[in-house]
Amino acid sequence: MKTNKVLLILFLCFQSILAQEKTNNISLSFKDAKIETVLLNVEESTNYKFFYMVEWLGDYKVSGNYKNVSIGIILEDIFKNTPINFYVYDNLNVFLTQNNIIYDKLPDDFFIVNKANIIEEEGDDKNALTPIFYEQNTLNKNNSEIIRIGKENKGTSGKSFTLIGMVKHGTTGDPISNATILVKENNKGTTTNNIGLYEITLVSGLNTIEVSALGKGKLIKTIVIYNNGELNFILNDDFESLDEVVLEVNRDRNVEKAITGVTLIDVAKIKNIPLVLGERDILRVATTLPGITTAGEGASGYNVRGGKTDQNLILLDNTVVYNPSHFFGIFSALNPFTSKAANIYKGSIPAEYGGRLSSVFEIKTKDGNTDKFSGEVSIGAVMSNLTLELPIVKEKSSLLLGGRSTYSNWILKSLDDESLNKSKASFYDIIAKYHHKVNKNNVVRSTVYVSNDNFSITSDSLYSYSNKLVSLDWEHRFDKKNSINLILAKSQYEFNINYEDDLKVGFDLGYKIDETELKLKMKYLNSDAHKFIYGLSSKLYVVNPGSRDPIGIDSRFVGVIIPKERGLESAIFISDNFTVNDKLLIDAGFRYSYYLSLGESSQRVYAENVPKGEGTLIDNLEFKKNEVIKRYGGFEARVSARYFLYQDFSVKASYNNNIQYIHTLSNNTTVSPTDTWKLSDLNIKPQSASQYSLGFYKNFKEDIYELSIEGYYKKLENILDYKVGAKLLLNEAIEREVLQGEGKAYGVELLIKKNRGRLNGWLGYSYSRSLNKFDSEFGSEIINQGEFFSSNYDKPHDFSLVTNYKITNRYSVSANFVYQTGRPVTYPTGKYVLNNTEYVVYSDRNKFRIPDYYRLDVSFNVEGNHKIKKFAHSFWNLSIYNLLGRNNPYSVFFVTEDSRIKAYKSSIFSIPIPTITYNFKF
Amino acid sequence: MKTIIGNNYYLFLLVLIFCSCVEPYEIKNETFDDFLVVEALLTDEIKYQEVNLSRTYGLEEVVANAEENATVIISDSEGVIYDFDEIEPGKYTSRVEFSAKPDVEYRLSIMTNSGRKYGSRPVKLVSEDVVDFKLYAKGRINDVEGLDGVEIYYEGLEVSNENSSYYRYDYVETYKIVAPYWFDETIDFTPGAYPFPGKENDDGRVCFDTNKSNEIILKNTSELQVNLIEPFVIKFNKQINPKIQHRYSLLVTQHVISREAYVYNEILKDFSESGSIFSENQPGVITGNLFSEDNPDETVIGYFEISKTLSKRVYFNYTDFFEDNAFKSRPYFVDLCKIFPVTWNSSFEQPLSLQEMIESGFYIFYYEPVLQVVSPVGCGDCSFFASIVVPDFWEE
Repeated sequence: MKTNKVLLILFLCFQSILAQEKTNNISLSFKDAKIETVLLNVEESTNYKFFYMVEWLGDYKVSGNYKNVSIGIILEDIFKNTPINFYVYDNLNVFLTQNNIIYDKLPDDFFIVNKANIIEEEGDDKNALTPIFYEQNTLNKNNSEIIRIGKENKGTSGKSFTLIGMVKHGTTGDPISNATILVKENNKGTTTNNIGLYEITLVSGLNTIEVSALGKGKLIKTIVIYNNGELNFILNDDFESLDEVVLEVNRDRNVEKAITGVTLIDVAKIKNIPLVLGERDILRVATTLPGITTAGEGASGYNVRGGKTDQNLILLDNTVVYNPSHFFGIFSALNPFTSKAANIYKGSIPAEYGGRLSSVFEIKTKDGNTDKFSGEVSIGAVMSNLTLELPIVKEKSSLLLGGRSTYSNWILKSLDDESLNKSKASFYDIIAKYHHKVNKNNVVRSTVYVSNDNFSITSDSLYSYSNKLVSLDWEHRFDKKNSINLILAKSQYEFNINYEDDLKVGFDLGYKIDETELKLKMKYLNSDAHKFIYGLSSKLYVVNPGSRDPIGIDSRFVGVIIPKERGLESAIFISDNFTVNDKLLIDAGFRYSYYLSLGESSQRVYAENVPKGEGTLIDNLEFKKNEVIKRYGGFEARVSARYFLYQDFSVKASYNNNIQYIHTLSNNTTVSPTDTWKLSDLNIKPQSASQYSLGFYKNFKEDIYELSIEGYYKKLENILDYKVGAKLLLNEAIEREVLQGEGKAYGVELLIKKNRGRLNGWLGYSYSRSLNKFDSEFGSEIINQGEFFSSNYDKPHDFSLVTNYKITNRYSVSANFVYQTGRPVTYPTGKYVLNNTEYVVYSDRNKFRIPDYYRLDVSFNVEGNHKIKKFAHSFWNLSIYNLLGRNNPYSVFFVTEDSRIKAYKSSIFSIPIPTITYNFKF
Repeated sequence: MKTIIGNNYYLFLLVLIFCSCVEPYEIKNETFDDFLVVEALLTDEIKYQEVNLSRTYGLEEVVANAEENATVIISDSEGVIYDFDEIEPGKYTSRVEFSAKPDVEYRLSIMTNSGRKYGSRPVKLVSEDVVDFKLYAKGRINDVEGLDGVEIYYEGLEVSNENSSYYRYDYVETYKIVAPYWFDETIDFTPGAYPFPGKENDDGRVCFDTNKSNEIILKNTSELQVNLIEPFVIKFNKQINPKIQHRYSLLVTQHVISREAYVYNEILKDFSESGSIFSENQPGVITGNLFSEDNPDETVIGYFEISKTLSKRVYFNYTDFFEDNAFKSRPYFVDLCKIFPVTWNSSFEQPLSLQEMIESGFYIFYYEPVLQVVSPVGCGDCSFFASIVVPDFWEE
């Protein structure tokens, strides 16, 4: 077809309806009648004949009372709220059209226009009457139907209209947040908010809209817009093709959002990344991004931008997870099959979150399928997973159940080796999420999560730890602009060490922290320019720092009970996402947090300005239950701004400060679950940080490539470190063992990503430093002569390369390469003899580094075939972790054995480890 | 077969996770910090007080170097200066006998051969009284083996006058050694010397050895309701320990020390004990009460300790607790005492003649009732590794 121009709008050289007023006036009265009924009525009582499709009319009900008026007036009224236009022909026949106005004369420039798409720039009113045309071959190319929005009014051409709507999931019907809506013609776009709503301004006429969301298929729709309108999109899961983008920040998101240092990990897309023992792991993927590291294999906890592992707020459906790891951190405790997405804020933290200095890991669980029963099974070398989605009330509510467990205990028991079949190693985690869409304006979500680890390292000790979480979230929409979330969240973390040797000498040690939070979060979408989020929250901490109960009558250990600690952390917050103009976006938030250390408690008072010790203890104060021991609080600013230098090139800057009222006590970085959390009290002050960051973001080649470079500088105060020889476990007078000093961290992070294509992946590099300083006039309170020194997690160079190559739609190979500077350690530099015993001379704290860390992993992925009707969709993953067999030590430590010093290094995976994992979805 | 592979794979995984991940590590001595190490204890006993000076040494080295030719003095707040003389490399003793007196502050000053000056913060005897204590030996009964060794208990007898007291204990063990194959005749190869002459004395049959404690034993009463140390085992020896096969003596010295000195010793003690998986102590240089006068950032290792001391001694015999079995079969310091008959001359089975064997120094003559030799020599003569001098204090 070489016909360039097909007029879809019917051009009929009729006379204007305006000229038709002289005859055939009608009197008519109707109430709550269907339009069709009214039309039939008119047809019956007059000569008019209507030409239309019944579907166009829908179920609109209209009312009216007319006396001797022209048909035009009646029709104007009844079609006012519909996309229907009408044309009265020859005083007899009425043609109804959907959307289009029937023009009765050709526009002046009709024959000279040969540009197909004549959508004019906004504000050009001269061609107000230019009808809207589009090219036939546009349609063919996109092979998509045309959707007409709004009713064309005369004079709409060239204007801009607002399209609103919702993006929903095809099977579950759930709103999809963070979906991208992109207008191809001008590359402008928007994203849906957290309830799946979007709002976009389109130039009248033809627009090609591409809707995409992470893990979902892409949808291209051709829209002809005549007026403000509403259009919902439905996206389906994208499992029919191999995922090519392993990790995707929303299109344009990196360039467009105001906040710096935010990363979105789409969980569905991480399956191609080779991982340890074949287990998918959200948090491990996070560590391949610049700015997020771990102290080493087997170290739980994450160091974000030079922060300590206790400075991350890890939220699973709004609830804090204190220990998000299994097996000392080898696996993460967050189920990747039930998680939807993880947002990691390492730069500017939204004002609604607080209480941690370095980052927020916001992990959301999927809403279950409300439509049909479905599930996923994964069988791996170490653990297996089962996920089920059970619709409860069709289209309204669903229960998502996920469970993972190891089978090691069972295998250990079946072994002949006596020492092994007595040992224990097991863990599991279970998650259940129920969501109920009560109606359009009310959604209730509730999550219950339990994780548990149990293992014995020696045959006479048993370790266990567990997280228990419950959360309830009621979301209510008052109107299009106002909504509220009422969140109740409770988290509990505990660990226990049970030790019993042959001589009936043993102990049982327990620690528990419990927090309950109530949060009220309001959203007010004031206008295109201002979007407010505000609210308040309050959190009660109860810590049982532990007890050591002697086991057996002969136990040499004395029972110890460290008294309970309580604290109340509250905050109010407000933030405004303010679009100043097309180029400048400001996200300004403020938070005021307030902390009360509560009784009942007995607090030690020390002489001022001298080291805290038994000798400087001057008083013991007793506080009654709920009596305030000490108050702390402060303003926290969360400000960031984005400015477009060019359309796909932006600069962002941010400042934020945080206060943290809770500290972990762990003086070894080979974190064992004996890390305990300590609340701020009379003697331990809250820690605080402020961070400045600046970044540049650029997308190339239609967003195939993303490049970002971000720099930051962070100042920390009152961070904890430990005196030489500090003992932290079950020590009531912990303030005598710790020091509070200042810290600073700075760095530059570079991230290059290729989002699409056969070869895709990313390369991240960061240069960063993390330094602490402890100076005092007292020798015992000085570390390294009072100079700045490297923190335990100061790793200047951190390089990660994650790649995935799609061989065909079903086969792909992936490879990861990681390089990091070895972490600092305090090294023995010599020996000395005192009282017949040889001791080690240690270097300055963290003066040396363990060998650099590097590792290459590869995996081969096979996607099951793509028959749509197949019962189950399968996926195989064959991976080799640490292909180079690099023996990466994560810890070097020294012990005196028989009066001689011996050095040991511990590493977890020193040889290549192949694994195979199978999973299928149904 | 499949399950076996599975099991082995699992075993392998678990081994990876739990065991084989810890392996010895070669420490490369990249930089070596050469610090002065001071071991100084001033007591309230009248005696030649002692100060030991050494240097830190490299991780690969075996012995510490003594700090020689230093000038060491202790000065008190009453203006008295006590000079020290080096009697052995690195070992300095006071020129006169003296004791620490209550309410007097003492300072230690050192000037090394290279001219560097070091000093201590002033120390003073604690105000607490010395409390009396007793020691007693008690057999330990084990569930599995029954009586398996001897424990020596410390028991405090008095309640201290202060709220809390800090104690450090050290001990010296002295024990009697009896060579199992000592023979009262000697062999003489000069022709006509037969029958063999008897030995002139018992030398080499009974010996004594003395060992100083190399562990830090600390007790304090700060957490106790009553300022009295509960009885505790200060030393345990297993039945199979050669030291207790005859007669054993333990001298326990109780030092009443300051809280600061106690804290120093406590950290030192933690470092010397093997790090457990459950907790590691923060490593680093322990700050004591010594400093360099030239450079405040220079590390000086050690603590100038001052204490009120009281020593007690306890004895016990092997037969007080265990059956008096043939002493030859009891554990001995020399692991394998071999005894075998020999001929006068060499033969195919015996490449050396008896004379050659004895003269080689590896064998010692024995007779019962044929010609025999014992190897190694220590089995028949304990003076090869211990002293034959009976200690002054020794009571049988």
